[in-house]
Amino acid sequence: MMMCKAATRLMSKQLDAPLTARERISLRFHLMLCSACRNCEKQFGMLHRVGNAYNGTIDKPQDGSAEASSGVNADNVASDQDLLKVKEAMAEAEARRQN
Amino acid sequence: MTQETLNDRHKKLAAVRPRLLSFARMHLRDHAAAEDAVQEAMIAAIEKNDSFSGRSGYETWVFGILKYKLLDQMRQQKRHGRWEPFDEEHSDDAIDRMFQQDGHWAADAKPQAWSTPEQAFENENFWKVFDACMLSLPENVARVFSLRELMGLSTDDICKEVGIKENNAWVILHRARLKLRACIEKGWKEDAA
Repeated sequence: MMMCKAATRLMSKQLDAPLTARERISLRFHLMLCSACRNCEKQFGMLHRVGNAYNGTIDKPQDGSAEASSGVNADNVASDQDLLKVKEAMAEAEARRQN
Repeated sequence: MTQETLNDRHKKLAAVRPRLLSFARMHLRDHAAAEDAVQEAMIAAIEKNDSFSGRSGYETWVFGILKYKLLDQMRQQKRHGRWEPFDEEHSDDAIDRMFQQDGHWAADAKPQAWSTPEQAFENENFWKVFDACMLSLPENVARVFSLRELMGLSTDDICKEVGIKENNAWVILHRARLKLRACIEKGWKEDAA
């Protein structure tokens, strides 16, 4: 039977490429019996969605619950520093346009 | 485009800047270089403002520009030979310690259930821990993970960018995920304690 270390290899691989039928079956079988590996698979899946969490959430329509959000969304308020940097970028874009 | 919507766009740009910055910093592992990349991306976004089609969200569009700049910067670094070579066959002590000889989890390394995993992204502490854990990865490993999971490249494209074989990319990603998982779990426990 496949052991945990090999199972984690397949859990990781399936996020990057399709598994063979044999790999898929041995992984499913192992996961049925091993709760630690089930936790691991969930957490790999979460790491896989980290990129979307970065540039996806901000475009979601803002409903009434938007104020309750924190984390990445908490940064969604521009500071003076950010506004200043945008002004600098605008000046630079204008300067490049004229050159 | 009216002046009013233009101003709105610039406000949006300022609002998304902190997130652009943390994304760039995670990928480049260098604060000054990240500031530069974000500034370049914002200049490009302002210059190309008219070409924003509105089909994707504005922020997604700006993120796309930043990703393009980051890839470009990475290619230049590579050309200038600023990369350590990949150490392909090296076994990894930190990973070996997570498992027993027979391949079972070591007693102190068994993955625990994380409470509310799906809400983690809403949690500021998650990002703090994630940030620190990314920095604790070896540079080469972090780069491949970031190309895959932050930039969203396929392993095939990563192999072309980085110059490794696909099998090697899978080994690196496997190690990165195991290490990040363990590091995040540890960080969260300490946080809760």
